[in-house]
Amino acid sequence: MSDQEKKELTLEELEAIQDFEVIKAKRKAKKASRSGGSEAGLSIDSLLDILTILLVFLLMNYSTDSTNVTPTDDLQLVKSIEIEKSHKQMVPIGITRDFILVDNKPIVQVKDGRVSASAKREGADGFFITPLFDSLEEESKKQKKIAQYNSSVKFEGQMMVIVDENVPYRLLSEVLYTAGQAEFAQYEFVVLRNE
Amino acid sequence: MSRRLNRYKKLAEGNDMNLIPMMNLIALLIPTLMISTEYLKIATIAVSSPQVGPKNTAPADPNEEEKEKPLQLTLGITSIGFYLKCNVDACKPPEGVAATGGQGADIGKVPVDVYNTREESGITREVLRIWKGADGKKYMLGVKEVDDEKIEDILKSYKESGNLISSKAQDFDYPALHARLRLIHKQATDANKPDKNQVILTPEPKIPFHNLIRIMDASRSYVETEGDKTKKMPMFPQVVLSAGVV
Repeated sequence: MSDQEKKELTLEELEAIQDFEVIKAKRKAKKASRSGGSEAGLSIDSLLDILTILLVFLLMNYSTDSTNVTPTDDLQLVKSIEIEKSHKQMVPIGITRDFILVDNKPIVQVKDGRVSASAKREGADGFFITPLFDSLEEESKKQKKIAQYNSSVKFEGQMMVIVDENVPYRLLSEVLYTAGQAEFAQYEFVVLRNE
Repeated sequence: MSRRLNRYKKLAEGNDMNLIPMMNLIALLIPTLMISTEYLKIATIAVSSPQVGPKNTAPADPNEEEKEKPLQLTLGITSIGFYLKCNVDACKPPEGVAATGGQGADIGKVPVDVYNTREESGITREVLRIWKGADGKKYMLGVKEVDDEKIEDILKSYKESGNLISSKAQDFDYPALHARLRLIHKQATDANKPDKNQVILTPEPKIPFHNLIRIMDASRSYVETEGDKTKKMPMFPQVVLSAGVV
């Protein structure tokens, strides 16, 4: 069809051609959608697979225990062949290279495996660490008060000692002695299970 | 035929399961579980502090007294080795045999193989420590028996990265301590000692905590093998920490 002939087309004829083009485009789109070619959206099936695997992994490592130990540079736990774990509710006491912590709150500073003489009642050679005693006594009072009002709770003076692998025995015995004075006489050491 | 095909096509196209609510549920479950997930496998060791109390009244019969004499197993831990004290014959070192390593301790220190890795920050970290027992077997963590294959398996990834440094060091002889404690436990059980399950540790002030845990591992239990089965048996599960050697 030459340009001359095109010009000769009437307005009605042109409209008819346009309608035909629109119908053709619609048909093409319909055909494409049937064959699945226009599905450019994300498929969530694979994402769901990943999430399900993640869910199974998390369920396998699920623990109802409230014990929350996070090793840091100054708190490296010792590996042990021990595999049993106590499920008792205990007060966590941490002895790191830099601090003594009660319930994750730093109480006394530690330097070179020693507590400064000013923090001890009897000076450098003493065993009684005053700020630690105050903190533990407060904790024991709190627990006793709970036991007073709740008959199912009993104050047993149990604590969980989380110790860095290089802490010397002297510092450990000072902490245990002070805890004993604050009525915390039963303790368990936290170790890493070697499996 | 074509009608059936059309029906099938309709079913396949139109009935996709709506996975969005399921996704919402999983997305909520994941953070909840992440909070309560145990990333580190931890265990706890129960320890007692010494109990001070009045002495029991002495029995009238002297033979009875000898029979009921408690074991009182005390393990002194010093920088040169272990000292054992108790009321059975196994605490005495075997006649004509010098104590392991000499140096005056009942069980002295021995050379061990140490494998360290150097991290990118320049800090070296210990990966593995291997003890060679008198029985020719190899041990990790003081008393856990390992074979060469297992050692290779542990060190494999470090060897591949080329950051492994092996060296020798002196350490406490935990396998020998474990063997001696088994002998003491057997004699104490045969004699039916009242405190046959208790060991009192008296460490020097400078002894690091990891040594104490190794000693507890060596003394609290032993592995008994019956055919193919292995069973963990209690030996001295009651560990008492005393004030220490001053």
